[in-house]
Amino acid sequence: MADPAPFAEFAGVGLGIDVHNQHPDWRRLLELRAAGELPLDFLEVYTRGELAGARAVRAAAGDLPLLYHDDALDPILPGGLRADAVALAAANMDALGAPWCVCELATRRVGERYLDFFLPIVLTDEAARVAAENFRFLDDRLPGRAVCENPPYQLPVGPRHILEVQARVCEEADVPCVLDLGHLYSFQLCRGLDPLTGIDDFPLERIVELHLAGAVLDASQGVSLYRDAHGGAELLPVLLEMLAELAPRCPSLRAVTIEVEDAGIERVVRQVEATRSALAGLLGAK
Amino acid sequence: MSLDEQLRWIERLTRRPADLAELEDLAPEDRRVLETIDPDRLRAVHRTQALLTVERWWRARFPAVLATLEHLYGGPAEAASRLVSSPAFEAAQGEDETGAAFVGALFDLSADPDWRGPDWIFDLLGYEYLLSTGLPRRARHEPVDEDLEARLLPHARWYAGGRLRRPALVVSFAWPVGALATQPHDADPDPHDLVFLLGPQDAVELSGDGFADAVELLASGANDDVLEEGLGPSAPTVLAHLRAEGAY
Repeated sequence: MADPAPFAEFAGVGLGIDVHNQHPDWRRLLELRAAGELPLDFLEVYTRGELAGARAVRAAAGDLPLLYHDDALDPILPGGLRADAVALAAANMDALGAPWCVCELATRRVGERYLDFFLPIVLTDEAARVAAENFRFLDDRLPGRAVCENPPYQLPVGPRHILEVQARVCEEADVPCVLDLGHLYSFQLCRGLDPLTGIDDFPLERIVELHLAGAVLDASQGVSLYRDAHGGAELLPVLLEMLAELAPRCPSLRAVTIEVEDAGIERVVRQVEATRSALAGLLGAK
Repeated sequence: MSLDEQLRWIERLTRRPADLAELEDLAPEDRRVLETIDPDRLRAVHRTQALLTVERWWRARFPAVLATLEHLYGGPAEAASRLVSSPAFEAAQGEDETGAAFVGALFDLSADPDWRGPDWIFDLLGYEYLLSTGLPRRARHEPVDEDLEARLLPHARWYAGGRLRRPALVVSFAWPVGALATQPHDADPDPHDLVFLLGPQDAVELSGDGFADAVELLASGANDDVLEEGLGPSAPTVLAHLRAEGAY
């Protein structure tokens, strides 16, 4: 697996932002960083495909490294990726100077219809094979790496564990991956498993990035549902525990991203502090 | 069952969990993957997602109709469930930008023999549709669902040309939609016309005697004498108002 330059070593802790979201305003985050009030090692930028947003962040961010997050590629659908979506992802990566593009194992559409919710990958060997084909195709056509992220689950379908399926996709497509700890926890909740069940058999060397985000646990319907709220809620303590245990075990880890859309500045600062504290060993060695 | 069919089934079951029973009709090999679905979790996800869809797609656009449905069905959860379960949901474009899913769902619900909705709900729906969807989309030069509008607003008349400087829509309502939009309640019939004057970026709503007749006459090119004769004593007030709005 090629090294995902320019992140030749662990870069640190960054924030996942949506350029269309004013909470937090990404310009304010950059001001706080410049003022030395917010330790920020990179941004992961979600533009909804809009190139102007990517260019604006690149122009304002100076030498701050930027990653790209895309949610319009739908890499779990059979029939191949849409050429226009791939081209747009490539253009956004170029505009940001991003070394990789994060893409979840999920879809926002079925047929021609847009879905209001992510539909995560079906947990079967066939679904893994289709996603691997799509990721291989994507990785060949992007200016940087295609990075495969595990999706959030409220209703897993299929007999496999998500870590089995994600490992198979990464191995067959030969791509690196993001492990979103909240998404993983959402899956374990559905199956009644411990937070890191399955991790010992996962190819940890594939993990270049870990994701964290605020979440709400909802048991009001009689089952435990994980609501991925990003900046709209606090980080669950269990996610920080998972991070502290897992990060030192990932030899290729380059980035830890807190997805903060919808957060106020105070919450962002608080979450960065908590995350950096959980990573004290890695950050100290940096 | 192909992967594509599995995904379609999952999406459908999440909106219509009662359809889970239909898996029994499939061959064992076809239902093998879908049988891993936890029915309790499916119902919980359905309720949660239905409520979120209502909030994200429809709450701001159809507030009074939603309040009416929630009263009718005993709460937001049941109303949301019925809306996303409707076959019309599949007509949604994006986040139901044309309103086809919501309006279609109301038609579906009202076709149920047990429907007990108020007589005025389709007048109210037509009014909220125009304000939130039909007129703004026209102002932005975005396409509207014309078949849907013809069904929802069968008495709508469009006027343009003649002496009119702005296109105008005249809609006949049988119920007091303005009052119902503010507070859905028991209402007495109130047949009246509303006039909407379309501008480059907005629309102006006019209510009161004479406006609909004036718009029709102006579109026909009627001169001032004909206007005054046709509108009677209300002519000066009505015409002054229309002139102030740039209608002619």
